[in-house]
Amino acid sequence: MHVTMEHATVGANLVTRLTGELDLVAAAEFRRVVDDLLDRRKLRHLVVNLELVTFLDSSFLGALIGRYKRIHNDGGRLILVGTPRSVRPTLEAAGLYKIVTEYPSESDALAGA
Amino acid sequence: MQQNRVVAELASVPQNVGVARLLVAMVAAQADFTVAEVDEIKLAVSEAVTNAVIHGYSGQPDQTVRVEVSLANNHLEVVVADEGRGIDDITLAMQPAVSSDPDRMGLGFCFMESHMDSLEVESSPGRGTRVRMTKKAGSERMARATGS
Repeated sequence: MHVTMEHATVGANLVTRLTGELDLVAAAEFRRVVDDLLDRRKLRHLVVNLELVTFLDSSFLGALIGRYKRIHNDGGRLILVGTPRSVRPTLEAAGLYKIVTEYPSESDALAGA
Repeated sequence: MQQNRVVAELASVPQNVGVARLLVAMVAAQADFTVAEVDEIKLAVSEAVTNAVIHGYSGQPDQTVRVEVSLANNHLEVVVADEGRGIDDITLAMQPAVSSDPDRMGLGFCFMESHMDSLEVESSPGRGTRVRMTKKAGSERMARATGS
């Protein structure tokens, strides 16, 4: 249940690996850390690895979309990697697949980005 | 056939949204819900309790959100209640993408409605909000089997 977040910049891309249940608590942390990184550096694409995520609600969806809006203006993309089957319906219901790109792995995502 | 009832009074802090999910999931697990159905119940509860914390109490941490979950005959009922500011227009608030905060999606009620068998919202300005949701174990499998 414990949420962890790892962030790394790879070239001009921000790669974030998340684990656990992503709700308003994780949303606030994600928003804070990603906005801080985006403030400090010009980053292009945001790659979010959801492989070890067990739950996600609309609070976290809002944080994802908020960060997408921020990078989208500069031509950046929100890229999802490893979305678990249990979480897909929530992302679909929110229309997230209209705006995100998906790759099976981080290396594929970074190669394609 | 399991019968159970758990009542929790949770401080209106964000961390307790996860506590509510766990609590309701553990009661739901005593019935014949599938894993996917328990996930749906968790999502609905997460949305309802988040609404109470963020909207009902505007993020004040020293208030109380009451979560009551009861189980009888594979029928789960969850009530999430707060004594916060209440909703001016429930019909409007339940429409997707209606939210006072630009970073939020206004999907809470949509998820509650689509993931539970029933959703009732009682609220008025200054008088708090009470959300009652129910789900019967096996209802989705029945619907699929009968093609309804």
